[in-house]
Amino acid sequence: MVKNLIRLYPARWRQRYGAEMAQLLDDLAPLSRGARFRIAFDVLLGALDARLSRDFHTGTGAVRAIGLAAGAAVIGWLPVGALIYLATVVFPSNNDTTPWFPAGFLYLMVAFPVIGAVASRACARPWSWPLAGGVAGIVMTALVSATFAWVDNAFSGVVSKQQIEGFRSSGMTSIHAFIDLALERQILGSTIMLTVIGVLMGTIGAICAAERRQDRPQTNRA
Amino acid sequence: MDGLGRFAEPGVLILASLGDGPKHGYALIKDIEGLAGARLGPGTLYAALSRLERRGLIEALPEQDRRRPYRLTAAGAQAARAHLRHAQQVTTAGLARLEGYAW
Repeated sequence: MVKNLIRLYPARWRQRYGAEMAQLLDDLAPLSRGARFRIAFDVLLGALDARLSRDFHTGTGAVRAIGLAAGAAVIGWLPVGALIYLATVVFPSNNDTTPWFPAGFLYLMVAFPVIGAVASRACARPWSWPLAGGVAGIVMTALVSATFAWVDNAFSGVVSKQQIEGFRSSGMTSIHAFIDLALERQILGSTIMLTVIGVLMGTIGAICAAERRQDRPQTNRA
Repeated sequence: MDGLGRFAEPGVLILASLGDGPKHGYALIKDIEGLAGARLGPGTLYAALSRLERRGLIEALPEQDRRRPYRLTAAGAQAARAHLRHAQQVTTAGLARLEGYAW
């Protein structure tokens, strides 16, 4: 039901326009499958626009910027999660020079500025931008770590084969203990790396977006 | 039409449509389809309506059968007129230049 998508709009927006839009969707019915999909996509974009707009939020700007950054980090994690699955399970390799790590790193260098740009739309105060970027980095770390933990447990056979060389040279007696230790180190490293990248790249993205908005001509646009 | 961003074009279409009297959402979509051949989606329509209302270019009337009509304000009429005149100047000048074009 396309009408259910109205719930994705902020509460203040729904109070003002929700009933009208529900009636409009009733008026537009019946719809073909193609039209229903097109309208659902349009309503989704409208909900996103209302969420990004400063006019309908209830929290303070900074809180909202942080919330948006965290939400954007969840969306941004999806390709990273897929990449981890592909690199570890579908195309496992003992070779440290696989292209997966640089690809993931490059993706994050693009994703965090975008997250910062989204956060800067919610709050114009510059101090909130590194904070939002840092929170996005922590959220991303939590999700990436959870993905690694899931892959390590669900596909332990494949992961064990990949880590066998490291295990042999570690002097440890249990491959599972070795994988767990590697995961703990990975979580610690990811937390530091992604938080730092989140703060830096998120702030850069927010500054660029804010400047771009400032530079926009104030004359009539077609 | 400043500050409407990517909703400037739907905004102009809505203002032009309201030029001949108040309309609710469904009537606006149908009228704009006939006027400009563009079919606005509900999300786009309400994003533009909310912006126009906040800028005082349109105002909401009391609900009728769960449908809320909107009408043009004086400021909205002025903004739409200015925008369309500017577009007309560009169109006239552009067409005049293209007359001499060989293709």
